[in-house]
Amino acid sequence: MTPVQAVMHAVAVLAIGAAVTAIVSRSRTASAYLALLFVAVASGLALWAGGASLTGAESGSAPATVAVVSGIGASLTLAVDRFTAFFLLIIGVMAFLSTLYSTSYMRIYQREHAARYYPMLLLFFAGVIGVVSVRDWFFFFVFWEFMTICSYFLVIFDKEDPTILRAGFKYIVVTHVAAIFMLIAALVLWHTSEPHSFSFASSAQAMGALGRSSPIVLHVLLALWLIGFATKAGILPFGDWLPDAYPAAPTGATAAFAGTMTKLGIYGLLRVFVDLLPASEFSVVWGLVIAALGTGSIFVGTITALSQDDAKRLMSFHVIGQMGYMFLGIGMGIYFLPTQPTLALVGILAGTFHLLNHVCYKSLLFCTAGSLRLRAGTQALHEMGGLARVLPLTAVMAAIGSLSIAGVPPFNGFASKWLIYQLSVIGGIGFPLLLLFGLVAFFISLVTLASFLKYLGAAFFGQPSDHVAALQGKRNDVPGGMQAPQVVLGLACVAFGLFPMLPLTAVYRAITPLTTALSGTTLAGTLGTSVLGLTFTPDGVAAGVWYPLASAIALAICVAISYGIARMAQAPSRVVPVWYCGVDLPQRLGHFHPHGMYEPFRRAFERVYVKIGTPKTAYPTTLVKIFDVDTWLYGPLVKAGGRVAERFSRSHVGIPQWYLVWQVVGMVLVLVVLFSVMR
Amino acid sequence: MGQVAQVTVAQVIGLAVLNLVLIVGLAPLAEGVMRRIRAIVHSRKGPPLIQPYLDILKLLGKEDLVPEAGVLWQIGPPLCLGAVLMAALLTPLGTPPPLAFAGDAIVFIYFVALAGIAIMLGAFASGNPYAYVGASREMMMIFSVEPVAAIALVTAAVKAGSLSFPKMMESYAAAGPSVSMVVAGVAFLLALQAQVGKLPFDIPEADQEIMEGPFIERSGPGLALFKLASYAKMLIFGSILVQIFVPLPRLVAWPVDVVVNFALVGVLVVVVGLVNAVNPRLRIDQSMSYFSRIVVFVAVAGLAVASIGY
Amino acid sequence: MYLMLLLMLALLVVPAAGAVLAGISRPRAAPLVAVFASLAAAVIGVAAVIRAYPDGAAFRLGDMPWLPVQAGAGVFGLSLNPLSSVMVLVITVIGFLIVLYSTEYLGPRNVEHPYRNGQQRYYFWLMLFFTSMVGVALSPNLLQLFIFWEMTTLCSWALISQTQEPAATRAGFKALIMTHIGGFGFLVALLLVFAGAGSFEFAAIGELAGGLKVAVFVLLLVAAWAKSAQIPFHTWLPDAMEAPTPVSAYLHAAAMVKAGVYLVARLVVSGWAVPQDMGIVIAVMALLTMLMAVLAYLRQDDLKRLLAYSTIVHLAYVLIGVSLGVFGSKIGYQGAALHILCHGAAKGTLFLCVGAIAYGAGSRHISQLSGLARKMPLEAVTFMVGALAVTGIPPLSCFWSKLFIFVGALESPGGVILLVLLAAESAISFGWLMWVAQKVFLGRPSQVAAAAADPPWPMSFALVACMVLCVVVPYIGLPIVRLLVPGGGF
Repeated sequence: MTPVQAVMHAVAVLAIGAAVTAIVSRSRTASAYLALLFVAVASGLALWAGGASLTGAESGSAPATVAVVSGIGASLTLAVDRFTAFFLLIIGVMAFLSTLYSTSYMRIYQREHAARYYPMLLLFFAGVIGVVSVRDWFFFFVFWEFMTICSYFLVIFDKEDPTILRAGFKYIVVTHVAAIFMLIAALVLWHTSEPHSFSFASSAQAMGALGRSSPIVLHVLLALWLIGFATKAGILPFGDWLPDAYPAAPTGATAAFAGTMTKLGIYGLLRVFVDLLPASEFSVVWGLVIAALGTGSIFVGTITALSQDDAKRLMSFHVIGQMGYMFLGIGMGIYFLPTQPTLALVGILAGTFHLLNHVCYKSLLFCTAGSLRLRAGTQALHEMGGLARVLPLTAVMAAIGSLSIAGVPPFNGFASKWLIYQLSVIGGIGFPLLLLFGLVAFFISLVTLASFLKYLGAAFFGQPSDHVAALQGKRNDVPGGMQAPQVVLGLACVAFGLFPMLPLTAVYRAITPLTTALSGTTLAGTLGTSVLGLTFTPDGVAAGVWYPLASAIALAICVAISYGIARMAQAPSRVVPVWYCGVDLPQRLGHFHPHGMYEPFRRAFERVYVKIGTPKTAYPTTLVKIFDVDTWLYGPLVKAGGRVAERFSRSHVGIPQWYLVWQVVGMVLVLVVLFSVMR
Repeated sequence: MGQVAQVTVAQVIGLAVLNLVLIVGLAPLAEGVMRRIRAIVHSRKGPPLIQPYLDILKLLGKEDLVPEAGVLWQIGPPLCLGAVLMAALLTPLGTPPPLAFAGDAIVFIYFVALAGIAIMLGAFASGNPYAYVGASREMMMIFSVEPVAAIALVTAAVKAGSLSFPKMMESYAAAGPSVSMVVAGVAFLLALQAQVGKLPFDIPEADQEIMEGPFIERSGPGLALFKLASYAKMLIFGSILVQIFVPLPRLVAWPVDVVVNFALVGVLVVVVGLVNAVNPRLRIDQSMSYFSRIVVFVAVAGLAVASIGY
Repeated sequence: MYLMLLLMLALLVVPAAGAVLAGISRPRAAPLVAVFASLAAAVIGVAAVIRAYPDGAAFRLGDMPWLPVQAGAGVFGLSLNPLSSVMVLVITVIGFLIVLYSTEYLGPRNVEHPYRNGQQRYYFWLMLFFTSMVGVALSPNLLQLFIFWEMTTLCSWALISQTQEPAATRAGFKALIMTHIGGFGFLVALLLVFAGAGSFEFAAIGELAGGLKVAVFVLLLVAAWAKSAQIPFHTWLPDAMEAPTPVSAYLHAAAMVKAGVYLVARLVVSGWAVPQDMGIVIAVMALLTMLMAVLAYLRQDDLKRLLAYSTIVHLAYVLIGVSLGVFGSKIGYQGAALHILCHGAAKGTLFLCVGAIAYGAGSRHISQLSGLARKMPLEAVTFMVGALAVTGIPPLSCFWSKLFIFVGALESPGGVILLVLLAAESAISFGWLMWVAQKVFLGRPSQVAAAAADPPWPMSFALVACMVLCVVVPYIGLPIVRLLVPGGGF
């Protein structure tokens, strides 16, 4: 079985699974486990396809054409090149983990019917796999919209809450408009290509041709594509829908979105700007635009996250911020693509590696938030507290996730951020704006840290609030189905952090075939050969080093030394009540409201997030009045006609003598006319 | 890339031991000097110079009181001191840092931040609201100060073309003093007071105000470790300032370099101590404003000058 | 050969017979007769279309001795070509579903408006309409088309006034007058063609002198605009929503209004080139109509009036696609023909859904409805699918036709601007329909919604069948419309 066949089978399995789970949806457990089974099979196929292609030969597997829409040059051609393979691996894992999570989590929704969740989830995964496997803009758009619609139904799953409905509406309208932008761009490229075709190969040629003949048009098209992908990725200002829609969806679906759907924005970005666009001055301009947009999102998204009280909403803003990091890394990489391939490689590596890491820790964090919702019954941070006693494993995983997203060594977030900082400093020597971007990114990583320490402190540590006092600190962690994804993702965070060279090798294999501009670079030449760490050598000179395993061991030794110092005198220990400076406070009054954290800092940045409201357009009433032909034309005409008819009818007086007179007069008139004509 | 081959395991361990012994050994002395300076300014006699050593030893033997609301209580102190020791292992003291093969300036900054994280986690673990306030302030101090340190180190990196400490020192020694490095050094110096948590920037542990903040519930060995970590930071940041931003000549043998380093660090200790003795405490928003409006501009000015080549 | 003739004749005769039989049978039996007749007609129609693919079929049935037409051109005949096939599919299949739906809708259990009598005349007129629409589709020349055209006008009047209430009769009369004025233009055009070229064939228009050709074309356009409720004859359609919902679905969404655009489309594939100026006229008027309708449906509270304006927009789409064909874009024209089929399915679904809501909940007003999905889940699903289909979400029906029209727009003089305008309309419709769908079906159930219930099987079956058509219809229609070439003949 070739990878392409595996992909087709995976899509088919998911479609069948959707139908089956819809049929048995009366029983929640049955549809949950059946869904898990089908997703497991499909994930296995996707993982196999991705793994085989990524580790296989350079040429990869041949594309297969499934269907052709004749006359408009669209063909459903599937191919699994290494770039697709990379995403298939991510999708395969995340699909399985989020479905596993959902099987236990969905018990929260007692009133909603499972038929609207599992079938939609499976169809959503089918759409995602389709998007990364096609080689033709027409079918790309088809799968893209299909995926969006399925995700919309997942977002509005809890259909009676008006906030959720508003969030879903905003989501679907904004993403649909963005998709239409992309469609227009694809259509213009279709029109430019000779012969007219939607395939990726011919759009690449068309882009090259447009670049030479009318660069402004190409700039407009690239802008349209950027808007489309940035909207899906959640980059501000287009991604305004994300903080409303992500908390609205059930957490299993949110984890799926964070792991797969937002990443498709990056997939599309790399396809258009690295694969299809020839490395040229366009790359320089648009690389900078992408990096700037990314930095903007990093800043605004994370600062706004700091003020959030709802756990999932806080994390959604961080999704925006982290997607900004990816855009920053990739943007810098695209910027260097025509001029310095080594730096370009590092940039795109950094952004894509960050994507992989983000999938791990963000999905993990969303899972922990969902676990809190299940046990504490709330999503609001100020209603939690002291839950580490109740959910110990979740607390540890949440801590790992928080430290990873903050980029603390030796976790995986640090490795990709380290690459981004390296690139911005070394690349910034020639172009200082990149230094500014890097410094903003660094500052915001501290804000991310603050935000997640707030999350940990408010949810897991400290005194319990009234809301969760009933739990009485008794240990009651979430079911295994919800714990397993958390543990797997947490272990991934640690593993990718300690051995970054391994995932980087996979990423390198995935992105280098995209463009010939990167063909002269090697991973060894850029980041060293050791599997234990990274040595950044842009010009043969070591510019930065990071050996996580050695550092982790050293840190462990230092901690052990410190612990040794502490136990040197073997001091006894004793449990005492918390000291409130001599005041006797009941336990619940000692609960610290997370709203108070970092308050002066938040006040300083109050107006960072500009709420984009719907523009107030005046309804063109004059125009409508003109179109209302009934009132000013037909109505009066009909009335006039009626009046005329009425006047005529008055001549029918009902007296026979008058009728005789009419007849005589008429006869005379006719005779006169006849005689005059016959002359 | 060849650095790993050049440095043998024995050298690494030897340097590591040297770094740790010097830093852990001399840190309380630096604190003692600062206390003596404060006493002199206050026209008192003051405690003996070795008083901090005695304090720590005594604390190590005292009873450890664990608050009953505490969760993950034991982690904080060892993690904090461990992170500081890691930072020490990355610090040049006249000799190249022992872990120079494993981490560069960015890694250094993050391990320092890890120490702050450990303080905050330890504070959260206590369940005491005063500790939460202290932890919040600690974070805001990190917001104010770390970017300045980062910008200064990036300036050095831009001049050297590398983020690795030995490379920065080599390049600075070879190129000689420059405007941008001087400005960056000044910025780092301005940030030093807050990095080591001395007045007017000892806001997170404002003794009179929030009862030592994050450390309110700490006692005995835990408190000893936190104090040792805090003392060690003075030597670490001082050494960074001296080694990276002061254009020292590399003298004959490394012991002489080490002595010169600590002599200059001693000067810095005196300066910090003097400032500590004569200043009142700032509020957290005043301190953030000071850093974001003044010090950051100095640092950015240095970076701007470096990026145009000076 | 003879089988084909038999099929086409049966396609006309069977529904006519059904009409008569339904008219004279007992009230209980009339619906059954109509259902069987329409089912038979649907089966025959599909069979005929399949048999006629891809060459088409044409038969000459007779002349009128006293009407001296050119030799070779008959007066009465039957013709089934790709464009007619599309129309026949819409008329027969959707017609059968509508008749099935009506059996339950026009009954006493209808909460919005219980029907206790009038069944016989309803099914008579409905089946007569079925017949006349088939006649319009199968007509080989202008004269026969005109005869059946006017028959549809008559049937429409009768069906709109079905309830015989004052509002309904007024609406029916208004529809009659406005479409009849168009029909008058058609008559004049017919006479002009006969006077100028000596026959009634569509191709004969091409033989006329320049000025006369334009005049005839404009008069036919006026007839089409009146029939399809385009500007400036658009005001009868929203008022015609007084008719029972199956009638609205059939006449005023799927079939009758399509006759107007069918006429214009037929003129473009009659073997002569329509002048480019006419193409511009068609396109501009269609864009104006779109603007008007989009502005209007943002203000509607009544679900049926909303759908009426939406129908007007989609008819404008078809006309734009036809104008693209005039400008030489094959794909645009094919998109227009496909849109007749796809829109019929999608709009049919939406109208039947609204009818089910009226039947079960008793109200058609958006302001009174909310949270219907709890009690009427089937309607929620079908409305969503219909809304997504009509606004062009892949892989549902109108996506394909709209995409063809978008592609054609790029090939026309309007270029990217036209594309952007069409895309903007698509986005606005999408936003508004999704808003309505969310408002009506999701959220907390309102008082009206709490008392609702799913309708019985005839209506549900028709609904689900229409929904399935929304998905399936492009694959059926694509091979047929691929055969159409603007400027070519059939």
